[in-house]
Amino acid sequence: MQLDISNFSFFTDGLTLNHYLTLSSLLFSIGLYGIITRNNAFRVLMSIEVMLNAININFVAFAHFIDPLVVQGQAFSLFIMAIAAAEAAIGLALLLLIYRNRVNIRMDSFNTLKW
Amino acid sequence: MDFQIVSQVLLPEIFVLLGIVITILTSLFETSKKHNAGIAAVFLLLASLACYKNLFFDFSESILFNSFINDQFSMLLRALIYGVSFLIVLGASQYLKVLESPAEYYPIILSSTLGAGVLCGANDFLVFFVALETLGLGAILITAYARFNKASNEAGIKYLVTSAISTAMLLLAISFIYGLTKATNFSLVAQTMYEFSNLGVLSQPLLILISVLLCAVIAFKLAAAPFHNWSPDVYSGAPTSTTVFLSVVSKVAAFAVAIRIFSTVFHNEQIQILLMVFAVLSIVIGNYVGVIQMISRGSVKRLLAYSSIAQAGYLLIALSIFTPESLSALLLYLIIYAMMNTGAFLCAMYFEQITNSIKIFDYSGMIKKRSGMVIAFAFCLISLAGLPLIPASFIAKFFLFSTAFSSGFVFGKVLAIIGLVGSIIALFYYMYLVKILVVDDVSTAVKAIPEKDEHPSRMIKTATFIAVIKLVVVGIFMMDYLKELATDTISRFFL
Repeated sequence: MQLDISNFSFFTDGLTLNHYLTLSSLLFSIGLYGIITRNNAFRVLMSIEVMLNAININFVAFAHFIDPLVVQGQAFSLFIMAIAAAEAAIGLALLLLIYRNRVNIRMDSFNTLKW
Repeated sequence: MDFQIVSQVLLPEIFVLLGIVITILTSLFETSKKHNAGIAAVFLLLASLACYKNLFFDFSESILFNSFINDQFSMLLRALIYGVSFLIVLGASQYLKVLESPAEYYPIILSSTLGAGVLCGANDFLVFFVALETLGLGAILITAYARFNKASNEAGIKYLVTSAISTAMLLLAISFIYGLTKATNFSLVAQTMYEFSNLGVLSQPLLILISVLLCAVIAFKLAAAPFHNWSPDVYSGAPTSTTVFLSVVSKVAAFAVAIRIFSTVFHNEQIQILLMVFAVLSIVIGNYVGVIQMISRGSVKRLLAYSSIAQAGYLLIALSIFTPESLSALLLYLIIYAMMNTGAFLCAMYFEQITNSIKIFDYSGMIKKRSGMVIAFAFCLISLAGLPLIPASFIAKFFLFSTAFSSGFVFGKVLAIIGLVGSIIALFYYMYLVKILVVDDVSTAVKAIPEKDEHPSRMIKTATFIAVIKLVVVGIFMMDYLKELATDTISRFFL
């Protein structure tokens, strides 16, 4: 018995909005998982970038499928990229500072502030 | 679009922007560096005055393709934000002298203030997002500003990570709103959502997801429980001038944007229920941990952080009830709260500077050495507790709870009772703090304080004095006027 691939919209119609939304939600979840579980502060910063880029996919996909004439979503994703870059710059500067003061950047060593 | 209108609407923001540019330039030279604080203060004062001018002439206009709105609400809150930032910069100019390079603090705090100001008038999700990030990123930088202080570094990284998660949640909500309505402008989104819900095609699960995400982000910015965990750490690790900024300016801006989104874009039962839960949790957790903090001889900054979580809870009661009366009570209390909390934190800043400690019990018997500041501190704490000794905060709090009680909802009564019980519990730690400063024996840290200040702290004293005088004058002469102004401002949302 042969598999009839024409039944899968993936191969016939190309990618739909749902595929993009699934991808972006998966990436978003991976990013959130990374922030919660990673111990190295650099990996946490990278996870933050993954989360923000997942949302970029969301915006661009919505702009392409729902709003193809005005593409406001694409403009929005440019703003997100700029802000994400600013956030990464601040994060890296902070990590450098912390590394100088404490010689490690493990997240679980940031425990001096407690009630 | 008329350039003249735009420049008139954005005049306060232009002043702040000028302040940023000039302070960055003056930071380049060793000789001009030391004037940074003065320059920043002058431009913030000008910005605040420009807001009052627009407010006085009732110059309502929406500009830049309806993405920034200059109604009475935004002018009032921008005036408040710039005014409070002026006081904070005055205090910081003395407080930060111990750091090795205090000059660069001012461009950052100015740009954060600019973000907060723009947030009050944002009428588009793009402007809202960019303004929120301007506020948030600047706040991270000034949190970690004490470079060689490990606590400050740690507060910075904690604030960065948590605020990045909240940003991501906000963006997710905005992307779904955009996908649902093809628009980012508040009024267009509201219109499309209204049409969709009339046609019955509005996806309920998606709407609930968006509401939950937006409420979570707003609760995070307000430091309301259960999204409050960052705030005690960040408040106590950051330089105290940043703590004031976070607990007042950031909170006022978040309430401004919450009121605007919920009253103009969309509002539903889920939001109401969520905000109620947040309000109850904030009051319970804020006051409970505040009491424990007091008993366990913790730090005064942490105590004030929990007190401001509880205060956010009282304000959230009014936000969750969401009638025009309760919102005007919220606005009134927000104005009073900004003044009294600024005063309290400025006093804490002064005590920290003269004793080099943030422990509560290092301040005991302070009245023997610095009676004026202790009286000001006690005044602000009594105001925060809402005792009728000071008219302003009592009237505002009374108004807040009475509108909740008479809102016609059963849960309104329950919330008002919880709020009242919470205020009574809060009275314990506010009064205990006053007792320690006034009645208790003089501690060794206080004994070591010289009779006269070594480093002149005139500016902190002046800023505290202004905050207290404002509170007294507003409380005695202007409550009726402010109440009318708040009612009028909010009623324009419900036309």
